[in-house]
Amino acid sequence: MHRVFRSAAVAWVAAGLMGSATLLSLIRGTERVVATATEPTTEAKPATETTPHWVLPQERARALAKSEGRPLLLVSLNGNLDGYC
Amino acid sequence: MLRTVTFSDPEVQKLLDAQFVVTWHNQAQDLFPGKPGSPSDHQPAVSEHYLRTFPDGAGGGNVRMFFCTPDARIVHSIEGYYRPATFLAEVAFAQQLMAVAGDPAELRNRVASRLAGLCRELGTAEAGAAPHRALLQVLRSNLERLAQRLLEMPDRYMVSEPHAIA
Repeated sequence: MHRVFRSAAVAWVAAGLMGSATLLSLIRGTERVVATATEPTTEAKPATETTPHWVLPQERARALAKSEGRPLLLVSLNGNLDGYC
Repeated sequence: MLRTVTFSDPEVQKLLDAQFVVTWHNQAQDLFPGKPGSPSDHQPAVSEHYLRTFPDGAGGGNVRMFFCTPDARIVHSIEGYYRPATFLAEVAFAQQLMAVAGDPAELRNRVASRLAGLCRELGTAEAGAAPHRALLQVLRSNLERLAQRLLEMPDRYMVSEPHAIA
């Protein structure tokens, strides 16, 4: 009889733990959904991930501008093209 | 944001590709020790939240753009990050200045005239329109700096050797 009670107690504890885990995962899942709904921004993709083909190394660009008589646009950055800005 | 937003705008791309030879310079190579910091380096996506909250014209000297004659004399310069519409307006102004680059007096007149216009606009801009006022102030500062270096070469931002671009 004592053994039956002990088995029942263990079963109840196990069921309780499983229930808590399920509830926790549901709550976390809900939070994730809410965060996604209010900040879809983290999913934003850059329109381009590569250097535009018309951005040339400086020496080449300066020589090209001079030879073709075209204006030069020099973009100076901290880091690369996205840099801090 | 410059690459993922402004330089990705089709109108900006079309205009720059057609009208300018575009190059770049890394003013802080020590940010990438042992690496030249190629513009081809992968960048994390810019979030819409960041884009929405980053003010037009902000960023200061982290981004400097020099619109130069074919022999690399400055006719217009701007600092900071600009959204496509603002950037296109600056390109249009640069093209107006480019057309009179051979006449230094006229070039200075055009810059002074726009500077005066911006000062007037700042005087009448509503105090509540903080972002607009901030942008006007940035544009005014750009012109004040430009007036000091018109037709000079942006030597400090030029490299003697091309950066390795992957």
